[in-house]
Parts: sequence; structure tokens; C-alpha cells
Amino acid sequence: MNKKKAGAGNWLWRIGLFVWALTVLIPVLWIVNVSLKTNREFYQSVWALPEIPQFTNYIESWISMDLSQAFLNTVIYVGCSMVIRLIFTMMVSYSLTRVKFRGRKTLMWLIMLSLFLPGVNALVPTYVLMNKLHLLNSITGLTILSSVGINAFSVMVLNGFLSSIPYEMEESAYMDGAGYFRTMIQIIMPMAKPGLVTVFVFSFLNLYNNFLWPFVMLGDPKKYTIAVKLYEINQLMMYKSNWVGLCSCIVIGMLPSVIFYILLQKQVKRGVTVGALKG
Amino acid sequence: MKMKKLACMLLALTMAVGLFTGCGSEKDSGDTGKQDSQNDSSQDAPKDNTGDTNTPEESQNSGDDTYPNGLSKTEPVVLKLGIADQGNGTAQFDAALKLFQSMYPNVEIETTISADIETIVDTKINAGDDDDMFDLFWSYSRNPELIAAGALEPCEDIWDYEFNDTPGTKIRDLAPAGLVDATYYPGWPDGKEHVAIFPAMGTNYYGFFYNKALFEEKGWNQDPQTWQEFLDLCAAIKKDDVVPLISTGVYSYYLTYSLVLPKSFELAHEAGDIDAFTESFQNYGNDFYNNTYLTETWNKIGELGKLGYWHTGLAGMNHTQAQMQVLQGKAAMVASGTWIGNEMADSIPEGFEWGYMMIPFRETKDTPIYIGPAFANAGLVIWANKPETNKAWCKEFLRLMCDMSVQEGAAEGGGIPYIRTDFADNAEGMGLLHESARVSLRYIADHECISLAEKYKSIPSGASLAQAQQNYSENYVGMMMNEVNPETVLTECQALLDKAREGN
Amino acid sequence: MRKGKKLEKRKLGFLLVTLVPAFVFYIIFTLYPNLMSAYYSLLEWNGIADPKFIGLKNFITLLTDDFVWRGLLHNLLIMIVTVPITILLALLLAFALTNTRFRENKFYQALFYMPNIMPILVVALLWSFIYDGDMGLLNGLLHLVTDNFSGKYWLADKSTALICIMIPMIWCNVGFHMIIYINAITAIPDSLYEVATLEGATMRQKMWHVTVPLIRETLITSATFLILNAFGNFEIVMLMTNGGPGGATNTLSLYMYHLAFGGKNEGITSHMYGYSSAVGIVLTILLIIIRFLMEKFSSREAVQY
Repeated sequence: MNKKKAGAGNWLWRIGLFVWALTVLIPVLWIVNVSLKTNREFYQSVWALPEIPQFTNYIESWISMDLSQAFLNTVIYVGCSMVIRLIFTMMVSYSLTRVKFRGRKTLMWLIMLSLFLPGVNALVPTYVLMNKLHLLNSITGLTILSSVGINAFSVMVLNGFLSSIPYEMEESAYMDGAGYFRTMIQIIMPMAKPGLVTVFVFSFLNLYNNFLWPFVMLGDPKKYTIAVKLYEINQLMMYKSNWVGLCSCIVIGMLPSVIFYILLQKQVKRGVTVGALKG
Repeated sequence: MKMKKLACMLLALTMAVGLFTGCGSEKDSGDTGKQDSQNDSSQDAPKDNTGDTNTPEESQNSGDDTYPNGLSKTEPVVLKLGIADQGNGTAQFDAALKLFQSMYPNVEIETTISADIETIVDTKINAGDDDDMFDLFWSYSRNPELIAAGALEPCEDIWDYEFNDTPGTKIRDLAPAGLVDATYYPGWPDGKEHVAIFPAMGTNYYGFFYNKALFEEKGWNQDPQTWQEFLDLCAAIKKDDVVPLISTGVYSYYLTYSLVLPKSFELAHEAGDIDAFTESFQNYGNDFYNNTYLTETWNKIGELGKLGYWHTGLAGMNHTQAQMQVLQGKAAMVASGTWIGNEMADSIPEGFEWGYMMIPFRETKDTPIYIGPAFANAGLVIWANKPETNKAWCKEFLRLMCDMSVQEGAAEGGGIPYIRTDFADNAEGMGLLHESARVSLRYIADHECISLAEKYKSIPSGASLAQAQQNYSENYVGMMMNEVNPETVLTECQALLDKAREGN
Repeated sequence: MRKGKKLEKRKLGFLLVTLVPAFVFYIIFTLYPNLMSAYYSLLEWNGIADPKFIGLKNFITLLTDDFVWRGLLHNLLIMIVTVPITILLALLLAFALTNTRFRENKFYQALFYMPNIMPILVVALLWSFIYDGDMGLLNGLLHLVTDNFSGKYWLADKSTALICIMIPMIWCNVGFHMIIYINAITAIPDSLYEVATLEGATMRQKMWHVTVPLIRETLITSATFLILNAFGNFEIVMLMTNGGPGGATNTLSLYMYHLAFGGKNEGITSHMYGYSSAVGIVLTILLIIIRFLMEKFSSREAVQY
């Protein structure tokens, strides 16, 4: 990109990045460190290194929290929800940003309204609704609740990306006789790849860490997702001070997120090169 | 390129697994869940029946359609249980479930066990669907409201049930002194007192816990009898460069039940004013906050702060962090409950021995020491709007929880203190009990403490009540540290409460 | 003419397919439950006993409730401090990662994302230990410079507690917004930067004159999220201080949560769904006003371009 590098300025950027990296790295290492200790060691000194790293902590946590089942549930729940949510987001966002019609702004406000609503108060009415629809205590029900409809965050993020694409793009497509659906899927969406990836990362985080509603809606521990399991072990911490177990669960729970992010982020780069070539 | 392929494959896999496995098979897994619990019971049944004392009786009655308890053998029943997984674990519950299922195969039990069962219970209650509601569930802070609305089933009749393992002996006959009375609640719609929480889950108490070994080493007084003796103890501890007292500043209820509530009653008792005080307390009266005894209680707590006896960092510590200070020997005593030994079991350093005391606020030894019970506010309750059969089976379940084998399981698995006195004679059983529970039960018995349960006859409904409660709990640390004048706080709270009493 | 009509028809068809199902489900699963909770705000209801319709009484009570106003003040302070700092930090990091080619950048990009995926309890716990007076990292670091703060419990002090809970809020959010910015920046055609470089622009100039204007839309969206977060996020406060010491960190949403679900055995023991919903309505209205002002403000900016 920039071939010429200003020496001193560059070093400042580098140091800045390094300092921020430290503020993140220390806590992450701390959690890994705790996860390898015994509880007794943890209580004697919170910051010290373990005498002998207890790798068995991970196995114990995996078995005692029944994480295999939880992982399977999470894959089903997060996988289904992400795909459905992305389809809805794509359609809504495209129509609201790239198709001109009256009432767009009103619809956008209607969507944004949900961001301003304090969700906790809606927990009980939502539970009543799900109960009436016989969708309680099932992952299908939970998937429907969290994916069908409109997710305002996703729509807003994608809107930001879509609105930066020049309008000439689809005008020429329409000229060529392409329909709306084809234009959306074949012309615009590939260009909005960074946006779609951002939405995907966001949805993944949001769904993967979603605990309160799944916790209340599911009821049966066999259907719990990773986030609910983590919430359970967090809550258990109120009564049983097993920090080591918690931290080992967290390390396990964080791994898929990190891997998922790294893999997806690769897609952004590619999206841009494709876009640049076409542009 | 490789990464790209991998990412695509991952996504495709996620989708495929999600779409096909998930949405399709998921309903089935719901059903399997139910079947599993049935299978469990039928598998367990033959194993356990051999050791079960009741089986001979049952087989004598075979041919009849009913069990000895009068409930049907053939009618299939499904009970929904909501159980808390807390400091004491679920050992007692597991043992009772096993026993129950071996005895009554026609009763199917669906359980939800969670460390945060109250959020689930709350949502179910508010949703208002009696079918979806638990039959038997763990409940605590909401009990006064539930009782006032008549939503809970009175279960004092369980006290007159006979033990499953010792027929002929009523549960009431073996209850520790004062326990039966402590379980009766006022405030029911019929104006009478009933039992809402049957304390089958054991008898936990709040109080102050310390390291006995450290006290012995330093020669500190482990049994102060009066307020003055307690002050002397704190002075001695402080002299040795240890902070005498700590309690979590984040969760004020630890201090409420360890000190504030029982001590205000103790002072009222000393002044011979206990009846009037109780009456005002239970009705959120016009001197609920603004009364001599509560003020005096807070003055004494503030005095401890003034003398530098409270840990100065407690405002930002949760209960675990506060308890840690005692384990590490930085603070001498922590406000907690009998479950502390179990809660901290994995972290106790070598040479640490649990000790328990209740801080006396009395001036002389002539009046009793009051303590705060945890079992009176929290425990298993039965939902009233359920079929009679279901409720009867719930009571049967609670009866089985009093069995010696279940109580032993509870003591071993979770350090839960017993509810039957013959357990104390049972040296083996006592050996299973955690040290922190043992020392506190011994202290309570030796000092003939009076356990003071928080009970309300009527609760004001106005939103100002929330403001009064908020204002009160917020000022806890300030009052402890002697930074805020208790009289001012209590007067403010009373003014807000008075507004609530007028319906605002 | 006929072609235009046909196009209109296709457009209508497209809009019906893409928008109608989405909005129908949105209304059922998102708006309807919230409308119900708006109805609760007119009730005196503890969730158990029969609800009593009391009209606007909850809103009148709310006006004289000091805890509501104090909570609001704390939220505003959190917003004023955390939102600009988070945006600035995230922008700097995103810009640095996309415009420099240090070997460690790839690693950083994954690393900086990690605070987002840590469960909130761990974040709370971690920072509680950092602020601890006895064994905290902060005091350890300060000890190298001065002895004035030894043994200071940062979260236990009314004057420092609020600022102390803002720092983890910033720390948690920077990574996520950084990702949004990075993706937005990579969507900017490289040619624009090349032009700037040819014109001899410095890094700073490139950032303010090329990057920021081009990702304006994204910045506004992310500012909206951050403001919402500053008002809505109560978990970290609940876990670190539970609103203490002496209410110094109690926010409106935490107060609302305690009103609805009770303080779990302490503080507010009665459940007040009606009153809590009324507080929620006020919060909603306030957030809509803020968003409205932002829109006004940002569109004026746009005209200047």
C-alpha cells in the first residue's frame, strides 16, 4: 500500500499497537494461567504461575459440564440461526438501501426501534408468546426466536456497507435486463463481502454468547448451549468457588470463536481484491 | 487459497449440520429426554428395592391399587421439579430422587437443575401458566409475595407424617428445638400461619466464620459472651495486625442475615420489647426502619467501623473475595453461612480449621443470642394451583428427603446440616458433615441461640417500597464504616416506606 | 411506458418477498413482547397477584425517584466518557492495522478481538483483581512510581468506582468496533490511498482526510451501538460493584433490572414489573431522542461535504 515509510511515525504506531496488545494479552494469559492451576494455588496468589500445570483441568471440565452435548447444540443453534439471519438481513438491508420506494425511512426507524427497547422487560411476554406457540424447551424454537425476523444490529451494519457501493452498479445491471434478485445476489452482495463478513462475525458472537434467553427458554440441561453452560458455571461460582473450572471452560469456549474469526477475516481480504479487480 | 477452502468447508458444514441434523431431529431429542428419566427409574428400581425397608410392606399390600400412603399405584403422574444447584450441591436431591423412583415407578419426575433456578421460576410464575409451572421448586426472595397471593401450598402436615425409615415416629418428634415453630409463616390469605417452606433441604445458618487454628495460636477469645467482650476480642485481633471483621459489600444480605436482623431482635429482647417490635417488623410498620433497636444495631455496627475493625476494602468485594481474606489470614472473621466449608472446600489451606461464632450485641449474659437461619427464607415449596394428586406426591417427596440415608447423602455430598436430631447421635453421619456446619451447629446448641426468621404479614405494594429498600441497602457500607449517620438513613427510608404504605 | 410499469411491478414483487415476511416475524417476535411490556408500565403488578391498572401513576412516582435521576446521570457520564474514547481507540487500531505492514499485525488482529468473546463474568472478575487494594495489578504498577496509593481499594471508593467500571467497558468494546472499522477500511479502494500517498500525505492526514470521511456511515452506526451499550449494559456493573459503593455506580438499567427481578435476596426484594417497565419506557424515549439528535447532527455534517 504505502511504500514510503516515515521512520519515527511508524515506530510510534508500532509501539501503540504493542501497548494495546499487552493490555489484551496479559488478561488472556492470566485466564490460561488460572485454568492450569489448582484452586488452592489460585487462592494463595491470584497472579502467580502454577507449580505444575494441570492440563487435566480441561478434561475434567469437559466431562463434568458435558461440553460435547453442548457443543453439538451450539453448532445446530448457531449454524441454523446465522444462516437464516443472514438471509433475512441481506434481503431487508438490500431493499432498504438499494431499492427506492416510499416509506423506507419509516421502516428503518421501525427496525431501529428495537435497539432502544430495554430487552429485560420483554423476557416475560416473550416467554408467554413462546409458550403459546409451543416453542419452549426446544432448540428449534430458540433458533426461530433468534433468527427469524429482523436483527437491527445486523441490518444497520450491512446498511453501512451497502450504501457505500456506487449506484451505477445495479443501474447497468437493470439495463442489461437482470432482475432484482439476480442483481442483489450476483452483483451487489459479492461487493459487500466485507459487510457480510462483519455481519457474520457479529451474528456469531451474538448468538454464541447469548445466554439469558436460551437459559430461560430451554429448561432441559441436555439442550443447553455452550454459553448457557458457561452461565451455569458462572452462577455456580456464587456458591462454589471453582475459578479453575470456570477458566478452563472459558478457554475451551473461546477457542471456536477465535478460530471462526480468523477464518472469516481471511474472506475480507479476498472480497476486496475481487471488488478492486472489478472496479 | 487453502484457508479459503477451509473456511468454505467449515461454513458449508455448519449449515449442513445445522439444517439437516438440527431442525429435523431436535423434537425427537426432546422426547428422548423424557424417556431417559423413565428408563433411569426402571433401571434403578430393581437394584434399590433390595435394600429398601418399605418393600416388604408394599408387597403385602400388593393387589391393592394404592401405596401405604394412600396414593394410587397405577395412576401415571408427572411431577415437574425445579432444583437449585447451590453451595450445598445436589447430593441430597439426587439421593431422594433415587429413593423416590425406586418406590413409586408410576410417578415420573422431570427435573430442571440450575444454579440460577430463580430466574427460570420467576419467568414461569409471571407467565402465569399453571401447567407449565413447576410442582415443587426452590424459592427464596419471592416467598412473602407468593404467600400473600396464596400461590403456595401450605405443608405443615408434613411435620405429622411418619419417617419412611422409622415408621411410628413423626417427623415433628425428631425436629431440633425451635425448628417447627420457625417454619410457620404469617401473611397467608386466610389470616392464619402455615408452613410454606418445609426445611427438607437442611438447616443452614448465617454467622461469623474464622480460622480456629489461628485463634488458638494467637490466644484470641473464641467465645465472647457480651458486646464488651466482643469489642475486647476485636481490639486484641487488631493489635496483632489482622483485620478483625469482613463481609461482602457487594451483596448486603450476608450482613442482613448474619447481623442486622438477628441483632435488632436481640436488642429488643434484652429491652423486653420483643413482641411489639416483631409486630411492627412483620407489618412493615410506621417504625419499621426508624426504631430504637435497629438504630442501636447500626450504631454498634458503625462503632466497629469507627474503631477500624471492618476491612476497608469490603465495599468492592463479593462474598468469595471476602471469604478469601479469611482463608489467607488477612481478616479474622467473615460473615457467611454454614455452607462456607463446602463452598471453599477446594481452596482451604493446610492447617486451617473452621470456627463459628455469633457476635453478641447484648450487654449481659441474661438474655439469649439471636442468629439468622437461612432455611426459613429459602427452600423447596409446592405450587398451589396444581392437581391434588401432584401436591400429595410432592409432599411424599419431601417426606423421603428426611430419610436417614438421604440426610447422610446430603451431609456427605454437600455438608447440609440435618433436620432430625437422631442424626446428631449418629457419629458416622456427623462425621460426614462438613466441619463448618458441625462447629456452627455445636455453637448454636451450646448457646441455646434463638433463630430469627424474616417473616412478613403484609407488604406494601407501592413503588416507593423499592426506593426505601434501595436506599437502605445502598447505605450499608457507609453505615458500617461510620461514614453515614444511621439515624439519617433510617429516617429517610422510613419516609419512603410511609409513602409506600399509603399506596404510592 | 409499458416497460416502466413492468419494472414497477417487479419492484413491488421484490419488495413484498424481501420485506413482508421479515417484518411480520419482526412484529411478532420483537415488537409485540415489547408492546406488552409498555402495557405493564400502566400496572401495579408484582408478577403474582392480579395486576391493578393505575394509569400513569408509575410515571409520576418515577419523576420524584432520586434513584432514577442518579442512574440517568451515571449513564450519561458513562456515555460521555466511554463512547468517544472507544471510537478513537478502535479507529486508531483499525487504521494502524490496515495501513502498516508490521509482521505482528495478523496476530494482533486476532488478539484484539479476544476481549469481546470473554464472558462478561470473567471480564468483571479480572478487573476486580486488577483494582484490588491488596494484590491488585494496578497498585503493583503504581507502586513503581509512588507510594501514595498502596492499599487503596479502587472499587470501594465512591470517587473512583465509576471511572473504574468505565475502563473495562472501553476495553471490551474496542475490539469489536475495530473489526467493523477494519472491514470498512478494507472496502475502500486502494487507489484512494495511493493518490493520497502520491500527494505526500502523512499517516495522520490520510486517516482524517481519507479514512474517516469514507467510513462516516459506519462510524455513526458504531456510535449508535456504543451509546446504546452505555445505557443498556448493566451486567458488568452488576458483577463488579452491584451498583455500589453507596450507589456510586448504580445505573438506570441496573435499577430497572433490580426492580423487575428483585435484588436476589437483598436491596429491592419485591418485584415491581409495572414500575420497572415504566423506567424502561422512559429509557426508550430518551434513547430515541439521542438517536434523533445524532441524525440531525450527522446530516448537517454531511451537507458540509
